[in-house]
Amino acid sequence: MSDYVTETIGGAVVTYLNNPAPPVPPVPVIAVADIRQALIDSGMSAAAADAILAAAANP
Amino acid sequence: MAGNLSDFNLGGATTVTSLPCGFSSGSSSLSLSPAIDTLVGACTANTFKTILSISGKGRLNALKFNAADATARTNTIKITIDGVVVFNSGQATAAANHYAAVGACIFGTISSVTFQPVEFNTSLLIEYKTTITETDKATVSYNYEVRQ
Repeated sequence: MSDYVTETIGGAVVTYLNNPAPPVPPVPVIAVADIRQALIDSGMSAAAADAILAAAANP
Repeated sequence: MAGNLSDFNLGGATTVTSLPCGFSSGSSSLSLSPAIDTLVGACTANTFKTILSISGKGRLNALKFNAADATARTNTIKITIDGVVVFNSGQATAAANHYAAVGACIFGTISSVTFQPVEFNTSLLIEYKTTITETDKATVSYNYEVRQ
């Protein structure tokens, strides 16, 4: 039972498995328009950027 | 006429006796925050393991689990409230998906679990089991509160 911790919390006796999961970083949300603009800014033509995004959306 | 106030249904909280709807749909990500996220540790196949046990009064607001990988297994969550098993359901997984047992899910670009407060008056017990003997192959996440 060494994996367990018992505490009194708010008047209740709480016993829990003490094996915390590592934090999961939040999933970043990037707009497709931002990706398209970044591709264009890197020197790619608008048509090529659109083709890449279309391929990514329908792998 | 003799009687008790409890004879009148005044809308107060009553004891939950069953959560019959089972698990939510699966999602590759299902956010629940704030929450306590607990790896299930070493599990023996088909043997329940206690994740959380409370003696007292409070609410279980949300509960989900996620499988760690694509190994085929069945994950079972059992919830006992005030000595009554109100949820005992198995969910087959073959991907690292998340499933909610308590809580309403909002699915989208980032999917989330909202609260479904389930009252307990004397005790709450949350248990987990899997069909494989393995270690840390699932995470159980829950939000609860205690009351006087």
